[in-house]
Amino acid sequence: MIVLTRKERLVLVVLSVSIAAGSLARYLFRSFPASQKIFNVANDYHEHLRLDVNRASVDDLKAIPYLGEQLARRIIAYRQQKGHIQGLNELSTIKGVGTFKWQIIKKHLMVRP
Amino acid sequence: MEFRKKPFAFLFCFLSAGIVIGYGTRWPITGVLGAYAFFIILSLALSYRYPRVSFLFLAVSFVVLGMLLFQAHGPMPRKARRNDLRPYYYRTAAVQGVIVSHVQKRKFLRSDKYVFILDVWRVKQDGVWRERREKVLASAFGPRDLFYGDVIETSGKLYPPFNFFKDTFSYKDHLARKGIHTLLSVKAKAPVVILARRKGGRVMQAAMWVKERCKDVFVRYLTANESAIAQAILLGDRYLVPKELKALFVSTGTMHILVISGMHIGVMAFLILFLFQALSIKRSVRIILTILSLSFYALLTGAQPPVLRATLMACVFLCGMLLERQEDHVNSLALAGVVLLLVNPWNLLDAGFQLSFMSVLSILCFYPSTYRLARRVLRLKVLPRWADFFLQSLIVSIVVWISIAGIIAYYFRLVTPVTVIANVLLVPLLAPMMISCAGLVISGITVPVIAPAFAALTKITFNTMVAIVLWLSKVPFGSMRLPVFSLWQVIGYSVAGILFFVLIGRLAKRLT
Repeated sequence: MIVLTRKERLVLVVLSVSIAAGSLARYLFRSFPASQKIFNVANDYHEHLRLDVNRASVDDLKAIPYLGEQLARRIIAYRQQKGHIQGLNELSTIKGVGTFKWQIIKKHLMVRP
Repeated sequence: MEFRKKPFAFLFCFLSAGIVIGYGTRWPITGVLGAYAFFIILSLALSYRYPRVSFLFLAVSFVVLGMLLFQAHGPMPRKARRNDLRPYYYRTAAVQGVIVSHVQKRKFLRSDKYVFILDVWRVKQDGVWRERREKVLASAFGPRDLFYGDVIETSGKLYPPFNFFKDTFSYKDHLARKGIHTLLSVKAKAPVVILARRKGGRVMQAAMWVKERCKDVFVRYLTANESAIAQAILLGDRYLVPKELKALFVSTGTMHILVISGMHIGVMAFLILFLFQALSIKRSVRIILTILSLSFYALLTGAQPPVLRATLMACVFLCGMLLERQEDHVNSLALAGVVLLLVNPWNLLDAGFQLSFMSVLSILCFYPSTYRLARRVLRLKVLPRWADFFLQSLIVSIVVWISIAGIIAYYFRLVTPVTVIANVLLVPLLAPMMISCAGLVISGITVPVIAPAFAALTKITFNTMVAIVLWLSKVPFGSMRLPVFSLWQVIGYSVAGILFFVLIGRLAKRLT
């Protein structure tokens, strides 16, 4: 009969509980892909940081990389002129929004219905 | 402060004062040396008859020693810099040298970029090799197979570091504190010839090998960003964490989770000690092995000032356990500070050093009285364990936030009240994160069958942490930008903060 000390037993318990919990989590991730999506914030945190173009201020827009004050003001002016921006595609018509900036805008902005 | 019980605190205070004076003023080295000899001899001569006056002169001698140290590590005089790389700036030259740091593999546009410190021995220009000795920060583009200890020959452009954000952070000064005054850029087309391998220190080489194996495991079992976070938390490599994600941690005042500091070293020390204990190793051997393992871990993580501070403190604590003597925490902290200042006095001007020492000092000095007062004011006599833990975490978080808010405002132009809540939520997550990460590394290398289970646990803990940070970053007025915060404002804030905590201490004493 193997006699274990209290500490040895504790290490074994911690180890087995960790493996069991990990295995259960892995099973859930495989069986229910939706659960994997919940625990994927580290990769798709961009989605949660997107700004609503219809509510963003000049300062908010200026914080986006490669978007200067002038372009931010143009976007706000366009929004005021239109009343409400329906889709991000509309922004590509604004002066100063080329292919490169359009890619950036797509990543950082969104239109909330 | 009782200097008899805290000799290193005494040494640290006066040494730091000397370094600050050395930074602000210029004195001839002979004068400083003469003054040091004068004060130390005077202190020794008066030690028997006038011990108090002798103590005063001893204190002054330590201030002068700080100035002397600073001069010894300061920028080299023009005459002494004859042998450096300045004549080759803005020109392409062939260099030979040895890689003396971990080789960081970064993404740069569509290609790879390898960043490392090269100890240059020789430079070739116009067909002639010349002896030149200087450490340079090298960036080599394109696919490379480089490792710590490789002796290489390559060609690239040499130039001095730029000063990016002049008013807040000087990249040039940051590198100068590490003894680097030159950058080397190697284009993707330029060949990097490996002349010899494994020419570095053996222990460091072993540390780098372990680091590479750990990285392989993280890359194999985790997604890109999870692996980057794991490498930051366990191996001290933050450069892989995306900028936006880092910005989220900065804005919530929780960047210390991604930077290896006292908490990480504490968890690691506990883990190692616990494992050795479970293996039924003799107590004294167990403690010595833990000290050795922690020192190896500090090397593996790059031995930055916060890591060294925490490792030294943990080693002093473990030595106290070994000798069965109660150590004084403030004295251990000061000892760690003195060692770091002796190694490099510029450490005193490093933001990481200041934040690390200030936060630990505030926990040691101000937390106990604030906790007592909080319990007294809230009339909490008996508390359930979980509630007491929550209260303790909250008080620690508040005390540390108040203590380092001035330094953060000065360096980062940020005030982050949300930090108080963020730390209460995130600090308890650190231990599970590190345990699952360490479990993943060990199982990934030794028993790959159980590694996916640890990977799933790591995934859950990391994503929970990022979700909390993301949520806290959206709290209104959680983080505010400051237009300017001068050094005088920091000093004023610090004095007010100390007075505030002294008042709290007195109040706690009176009420309890």
